[in-house]
Amino acid sequence: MDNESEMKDPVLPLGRPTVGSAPGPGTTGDWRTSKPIFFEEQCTKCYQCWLYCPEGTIRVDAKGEYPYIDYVYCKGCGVCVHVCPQDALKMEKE
Amino acid sequence: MRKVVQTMKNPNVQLLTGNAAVATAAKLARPKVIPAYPITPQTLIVETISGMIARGEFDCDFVNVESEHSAMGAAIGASLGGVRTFTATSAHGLLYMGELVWWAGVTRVPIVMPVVNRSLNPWNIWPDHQDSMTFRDAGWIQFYAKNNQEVLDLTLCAFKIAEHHKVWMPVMICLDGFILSHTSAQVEIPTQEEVDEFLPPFKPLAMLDPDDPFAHGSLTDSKGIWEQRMSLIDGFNNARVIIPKVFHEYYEKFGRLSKEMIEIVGDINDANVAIVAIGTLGEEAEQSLEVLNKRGIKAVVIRPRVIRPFPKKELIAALRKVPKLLVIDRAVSFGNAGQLAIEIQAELYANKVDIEFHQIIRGLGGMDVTYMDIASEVGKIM
Amino acid sequence: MSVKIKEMLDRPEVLLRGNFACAGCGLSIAYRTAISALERPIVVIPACCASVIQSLHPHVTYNVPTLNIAFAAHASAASGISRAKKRRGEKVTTVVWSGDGGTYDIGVATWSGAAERNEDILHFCYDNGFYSNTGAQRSGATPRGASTTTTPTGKQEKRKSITRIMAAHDVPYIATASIGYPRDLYTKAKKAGNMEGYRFILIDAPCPTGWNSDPAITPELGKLSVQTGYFPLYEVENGKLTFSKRGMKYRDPDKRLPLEEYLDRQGRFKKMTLVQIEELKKDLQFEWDMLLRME
Repeated sequence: MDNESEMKDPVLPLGRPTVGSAPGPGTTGDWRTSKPIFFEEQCTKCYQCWLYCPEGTIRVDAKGEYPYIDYVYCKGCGVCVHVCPQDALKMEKE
Repeated sequence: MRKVVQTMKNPNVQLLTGNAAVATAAKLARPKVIPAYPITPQTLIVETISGMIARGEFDCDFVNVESEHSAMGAAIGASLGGVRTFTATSAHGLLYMGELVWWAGVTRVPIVMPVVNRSLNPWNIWPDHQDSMTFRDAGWIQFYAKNNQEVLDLTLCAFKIAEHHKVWMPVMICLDGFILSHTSAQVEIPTQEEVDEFLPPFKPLAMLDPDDPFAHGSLTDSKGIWEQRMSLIDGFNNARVIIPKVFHEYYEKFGRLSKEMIEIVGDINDANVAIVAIGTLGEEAEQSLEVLNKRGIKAVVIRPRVIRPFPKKELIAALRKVPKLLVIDRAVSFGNAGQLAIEIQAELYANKVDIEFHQIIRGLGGMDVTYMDIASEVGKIM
Repeated sequence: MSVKIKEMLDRPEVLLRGNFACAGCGLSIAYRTAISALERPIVVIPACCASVIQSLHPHVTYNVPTLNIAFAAHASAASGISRAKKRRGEKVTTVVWSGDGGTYDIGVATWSGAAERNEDILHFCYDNGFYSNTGAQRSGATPRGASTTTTPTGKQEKRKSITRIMAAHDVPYIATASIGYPRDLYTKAKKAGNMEGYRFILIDAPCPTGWNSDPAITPELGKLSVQTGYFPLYEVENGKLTFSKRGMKYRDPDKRLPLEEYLDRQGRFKKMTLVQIEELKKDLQFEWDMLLRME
């Protein structure tokens, strides 16, 4: 192993940004016992749900679009339902 | 070693203390950030460097941190920020930064740090190796210097070794407090041009960068820890090859250091006994050879310059040639014996070396160990 | 002026979904909001819940460069990064993101040193008033009377005033913010991000797991802490304190909601005696009085 090119490179402690980084499959939607349901007709696009969602699972693709929920990762905390001023979100048992 | 005398032809020989040799080497290596906290006997290093920066001789940020813990914290941050980084400490300072010494070691941050060896509690500022020996398992390469010239040489080599992409780990250069740190001796100083040729600019293997985000040292499961620890073992194995190469390159360029991780003084092929000691104890042991010779004892000194990685192969090759061995430690693994003795014994057994083994512990808390003392200890086992 | 939500929508996503955080995590709201306000942040995280919710190596939830460092080494490590980046001529925002344990207790020396040197660091402390990642032990930020796993009968001592200690360092910018008001937090983070020197923002970040509160009301608790006068909102610049628009009216104790509205929603205050509640109220008013002197 005197040849430098044959030597192993260091394994550095580097983690890379990943959606679904939680251990296992990373699909934290599995944690839910209840889930928020979105009613588009009530929504005024104030984006309070997006603003307060701790997880970033309330998605807004572009300004002026309706928000939607990424159920793969939504942990079902209920924050969005609680902050919605228009009752456009409701919790439902899984 | 060549005699180094200042002459008109050789103006680069100066009288330097060990600490000044460290500061001079640091300046020549061009680190960009030096966070450090003063502690006796390291203080002259930080003072000298601060002076060099203040006079505009040295283009570097000196960070006057509020503790050694923060010195190593800032050093880790600066190194991962993408610049060559240097710091220095002693004794309690090393212990206080201990958490981060491990952090830098096991997460592979190529910092260079002289440790001016000093005893631990109760208060005592004199040299022994208890401080640095305590950190020999922390994932750092460790050098022990025998004189001020070697302090400078090893410090310059340390940067090149630490930053080698197959090594990529921090290096500690240990020098005995006061015996080296505060004692002036002739030191040959290479020119900036020569050092620049020897030591290329810092090239980070990984750097905190908004354009390529990663998390360094995040929560890691046992599989990841295993992978990283095994890689660190590989890194030390790589270092076993890279260190002698860099030493040799240094020798070719500057005419000092040999390519060996251990230095042998005396005729190993014709010796009745070998003395193994590190740092200035090794040099003191060299002085005892003449006395011993007069007494009819053919002794040889084997002095590891490198303790991590442990120079097993080199030591065993040398020790196979002598019938008797005295290991002198300047530190203790309490509940067992001197660290050097323990580790050499393990290698002797593993390699089935037939040798009469003796060990002593000397020089704790700065207790003077003279060449006459060493000669008398050798005499006892003959 | 508070930021428009559209500006916030345009910012890069700094906290990726599907991480290790508990449902309803206040720290997550704080992080998403504050870090997204910054230009090219590099974040230093000491031991705290933020070092746990990032999930397991080799994946990480943070979409910005992150250095994990020892509990008491956040501001020193950030000092190193900040100096290195200046040396390299790279423009970044060097951030410390620490919990109250790392800020109020074990890490005081490191940030105090960095603040005294006026290092170019933006330091956020997300404050949930106890050691959350180790299972709810008391910290210097725990309010009097709150039960934690190491103060089962309620903490006997007053909560430390970290902002006043920080103010004694005369750093360029200090602010408080609550996850109840993300736009206020974003605005302050953005403002601080455009300044130089040591800047500090203390963020009230409810922890439903440790506080024993309903995860859905995390934002409401963030609002109630302000509205009851538990957590005043203000900025300190050049030694002068200005109460934030959101928190201005609560200078007047009569305008505040009863503290019990805040306490009753959290399990950690359930065992408090009336005497303890009165003592806590006195602590809070004492802090207000001290802050009013800095106006």
